Amino acid sequence: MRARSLLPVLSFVSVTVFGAEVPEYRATLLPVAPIDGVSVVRKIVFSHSQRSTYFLLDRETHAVRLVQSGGTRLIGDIGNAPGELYYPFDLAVADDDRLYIKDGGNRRIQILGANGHFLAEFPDLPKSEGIGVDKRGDVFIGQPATGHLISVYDRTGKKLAAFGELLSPAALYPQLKAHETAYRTSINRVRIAIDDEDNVWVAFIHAPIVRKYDRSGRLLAQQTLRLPGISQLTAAVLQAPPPPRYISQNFDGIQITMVIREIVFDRKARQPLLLLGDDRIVYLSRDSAPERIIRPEFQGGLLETLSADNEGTIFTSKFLSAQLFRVVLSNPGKEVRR
Amino acid sequence: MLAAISLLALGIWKQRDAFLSPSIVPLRYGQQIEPTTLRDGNASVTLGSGRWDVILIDVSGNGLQLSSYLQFLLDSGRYVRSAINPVVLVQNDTAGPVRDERRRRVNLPIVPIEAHESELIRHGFLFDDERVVFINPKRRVAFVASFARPNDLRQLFEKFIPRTQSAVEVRAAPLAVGYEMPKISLTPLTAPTAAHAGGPATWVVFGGKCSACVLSSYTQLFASREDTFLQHANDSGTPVYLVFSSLLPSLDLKSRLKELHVRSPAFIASGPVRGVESDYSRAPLSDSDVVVISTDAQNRVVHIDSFEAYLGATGRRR
Repeated sequence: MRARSLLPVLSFVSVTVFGAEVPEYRATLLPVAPIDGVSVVRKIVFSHSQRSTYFLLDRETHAVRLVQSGGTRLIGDIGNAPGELYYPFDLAVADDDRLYIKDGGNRRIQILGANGHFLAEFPDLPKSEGIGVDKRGDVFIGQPATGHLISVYDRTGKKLAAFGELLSPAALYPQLKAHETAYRTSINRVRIAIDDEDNVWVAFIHAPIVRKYDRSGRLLAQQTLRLPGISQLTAAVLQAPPPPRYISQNFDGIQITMVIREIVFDRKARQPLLLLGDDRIVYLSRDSAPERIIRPEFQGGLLETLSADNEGTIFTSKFLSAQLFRVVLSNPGKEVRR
Repeated sequence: MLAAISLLALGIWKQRDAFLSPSIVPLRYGQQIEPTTLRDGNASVTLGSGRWDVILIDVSGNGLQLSSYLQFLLDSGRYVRSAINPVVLVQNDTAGPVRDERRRRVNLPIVPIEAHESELIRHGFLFDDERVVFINPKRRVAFVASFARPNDLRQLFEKFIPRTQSAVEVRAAPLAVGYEMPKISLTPLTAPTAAHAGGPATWVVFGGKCSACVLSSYTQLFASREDTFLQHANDSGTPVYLVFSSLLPSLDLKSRLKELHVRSPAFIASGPVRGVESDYSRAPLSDSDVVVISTDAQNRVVHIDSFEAYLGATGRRR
């Protein structure tokens, strides 16, 4: 019965089983002029409606900075009141520049206007990770504790839908066989990007897996990344403490190393991009197959964020740092031969 | 049967406050507070005092760093002291190293929660996982959170508390080669002596920006390369000292260093590590979370580098 019910789904899903050779390019990081007052960049999101305009989520100053060519504007301040933030952890920006903020310390999702005025809020329960917003302004958040990967809410906080099958921790990491329940939520923590057709891209933070859903929650593709170096990343997932070159997080009372740190959508290239736990950037095809790897070469620190502007330029920042960088291919035509 | 009923009755009696209290919900933003005076012998402290109540809740010593930083902010002279009513509410305040450490580092009203539990509950002071509460002079909850770091406390002070002087901080100069090594007030973590006697030394200073990074990765990285450090120290005849920022959790550090079998003497700073972190915000003055400083016999800095760069350099030397 179970096998029969899966068949129609599988016919729509492209699953890559065997890895193909993926070209790899080197890149350098060019520092962007520092933004005054920013302490730790947690997220960079470019405006879809205004050129050269972006939003920086700063978790240390509990605020968002709107950066435009004419200057910056501070949105939010430390606090509990509507419009105030405490440990903002993630940010999505709608086409009309409304901000959807996972206001972690206040355990809520806040919706603010582009100029920072408060519009709405709803409780972030159970605790989510990963946020995206579609063209209608519906918000998609990763809430594996509900039994589904993704929950969908409207702007008023009314739950519209939930979708996405959870991964079994033991199926990914056999050593978790006796700890299925304890790791179920952690292993299913995700980052989310919404593409230009409102498809929902979901990257598992602690597994090398990416899924693509349509906005109604139908699974369109699933990709298990089979790239060189992925086995080292997955080997580090349960290592405690994590190896020095990796970032781990403790969201559910368990310290786990990140395999995928970020997923974003490049509107110019019309492709999703991943930031892997070893600082490599991977371009995926529209059906989620890895197409290109960018290996930034830099001294000191670890990359935490990833973003692409409307011209397809990639930006990043280092873990616990205020400095933004532009990612520039060292020699665009030259593929790194291994 | 009678015994069971008696036990049930006793249980209900013990929980009577919870049954009688009209609102059994944790403190929330905007909530009006009824003034509540807690007496401990001759001492008393009032919550909802009509001043800015800054309440820290310390469960089993986990709030020690925050309490220490609150003490620093109060002693800094930047804020109108009379406008603030600081209180540390402590759960499980049993005799032992945690209590000793708290009493040594914190000179604020400290109130054990258990002794006043029913009174606190009756007046609506229900702390679920709340750890920081600011109540304004109008006795409304102005801020409540289950988690705060010293830098958050500083920002909350800047937001709420009247200042005595400008909040503009003169940025301290980062330590550089040729500078005199600043005097740092140190408390031993694993070191046998309370203070360094002076002379040439290698100092590995762990900043307080990311306590999780220090407790997990950086201490592990040091432990894995300690032999290199000690060999270099032996070659050059200079001892190696570990110094941890005052913002880091001393008790966790102690157990972590023990777990990793770190042999080098370790200290925790009692105040700011001048030249490495800013006095007031304790923000690092360089890009690196961990710096390695070598000093000569005149206590002058002869080398300063990030941890990563130093390890690379010693690696190349070997």
